[in-house]
Amino acid sequence: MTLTTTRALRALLLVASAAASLAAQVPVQVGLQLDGAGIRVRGVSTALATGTLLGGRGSATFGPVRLSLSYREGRLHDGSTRPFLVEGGAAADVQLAPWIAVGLGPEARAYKLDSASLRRVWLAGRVGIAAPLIGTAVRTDVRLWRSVATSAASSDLTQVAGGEVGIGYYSAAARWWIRLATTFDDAAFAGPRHERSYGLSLGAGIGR
Amino acid sequence: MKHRGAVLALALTLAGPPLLRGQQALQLLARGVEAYQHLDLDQAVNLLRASLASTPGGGLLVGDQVRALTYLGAAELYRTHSDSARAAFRRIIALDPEYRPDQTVFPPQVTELFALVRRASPAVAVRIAPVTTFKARAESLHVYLLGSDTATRARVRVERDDGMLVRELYDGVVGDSVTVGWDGQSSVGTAVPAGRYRLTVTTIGSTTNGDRVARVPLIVERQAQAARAPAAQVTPPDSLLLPERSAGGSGWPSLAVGAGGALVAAALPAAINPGSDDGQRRFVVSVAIGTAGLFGFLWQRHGHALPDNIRANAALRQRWAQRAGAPSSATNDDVTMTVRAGSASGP
Repeated sequence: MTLTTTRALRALLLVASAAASLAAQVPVQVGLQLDGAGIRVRGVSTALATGTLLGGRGSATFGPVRLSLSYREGRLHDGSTRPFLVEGGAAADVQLAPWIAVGLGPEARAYKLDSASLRRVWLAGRVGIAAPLIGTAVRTDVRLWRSVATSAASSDLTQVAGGEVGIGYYSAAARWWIRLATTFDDAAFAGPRHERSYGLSLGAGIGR
Repeated sequence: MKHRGAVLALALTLAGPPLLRGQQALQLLARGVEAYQHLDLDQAVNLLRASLASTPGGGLLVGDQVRALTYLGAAELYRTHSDSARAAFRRIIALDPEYRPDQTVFPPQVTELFALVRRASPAVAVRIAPVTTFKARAESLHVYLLGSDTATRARVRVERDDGMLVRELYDGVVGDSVTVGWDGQSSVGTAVPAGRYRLTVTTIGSTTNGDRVARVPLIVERQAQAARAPAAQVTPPDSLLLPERSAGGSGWPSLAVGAGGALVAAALPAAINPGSDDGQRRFVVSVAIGTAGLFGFLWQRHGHALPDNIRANAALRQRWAQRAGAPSSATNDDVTMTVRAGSASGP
């Protein structure tokens, strides 16, 4: 077990214990989202790789604090290889005001090729803003993130930055929502190499 | 002069027997009370019963009957005839549910037994003005009910003289007292025709004697108004209606957010890493956000429908239309009633 993995496990344990402590003190609201995304990745192989990722996100909200876990996976095609992409992350966000939240959390991405696996792990800081478009039912949101640290295991990964812009319908009475979003992120490596991922995702969720 | 003497003689002939009977009953009552006070209980019971026996047809008034029955009940109690004492007290409660024996005159054994009988024998007294004139539907004839106990329940109905139900006015707890109103209408919402009716007050819950019923004869007279009242308004006034659309406001924030969101979605890759651009799918989101912002702008500017308020207003309009369209509503407004009430009769 590497030093980085040990640190990540410690951080997860810390988050879990903090969540348990908060849950005992304040009401918890739980949310669950399932989504599918069409994704295009450039930079992993020589050609553009495309594919569909399926996954979900679970969250628990304790007052202004939201803890969330996300996971999605899918196989890409680039004409000659079929890399399998797995993404996951954990985040703790704080709602500073109804329209803005900031957060921090580890993110991981792995491309499983026939002969090898390419792992990228980083700790991302992020900010999200949201605003109503039609009443309060239809809202748009923008999230931007940037890595504040990268794992030593992710060889020559220097920085990851990304963003997401979405529009969603949120039913106040039934507590469900649907959301359409476009995503983009850019992983920069030592030298001129970049991995860029573009996505269009459609998701539906329940809860808060 | 001769005529005057003849009239006086005739009056004495007609009124004499009841007056004499009342006088005799009062004397018997006074002697019975005196015998009770001398603890001659057997004699007191005989005299008090005799005074009460002359009551039908012109004997004691209600207040004197209650007094006689109180002394009779007390005397029977001291003679250890508690059943007879209870029976006397039950008659008191039927006559005057508000009555309580004077605690400075009667010892605790008497007042406590009376309280027990009162709780076990609920009764309701009816008080109604001899003559009441009111406008049908708009005003009411007031009926005051006085309960013998706080738990006393009663049902009040207006019936035709033949016993047919016209309208049920009340069914519930009377407590110490309750006022029931009758607006002169039958249960179908029409003013009753002139004629003889009766107000029936049924005291519910007496487990020993069953329900107790008191009836008050009513004579209803109708007078038509000289001037017709204006027809009932079919639609409610605007002050009662809720707004059915939200007030139009500034839609610029929605338009600005939509435009900003659309721009960010379109320029996201370039904003994060200048020079990176691939694919056009992000424009789907960009167009969706821009369109929603434009729609939100129009929605806010012109206001929007409020379904809950629309439903509430529709229900209110329907109620007003039903009320205005009731077959007799126009004529009810025109009717003034005079109700003459007789004396209540017991079971």
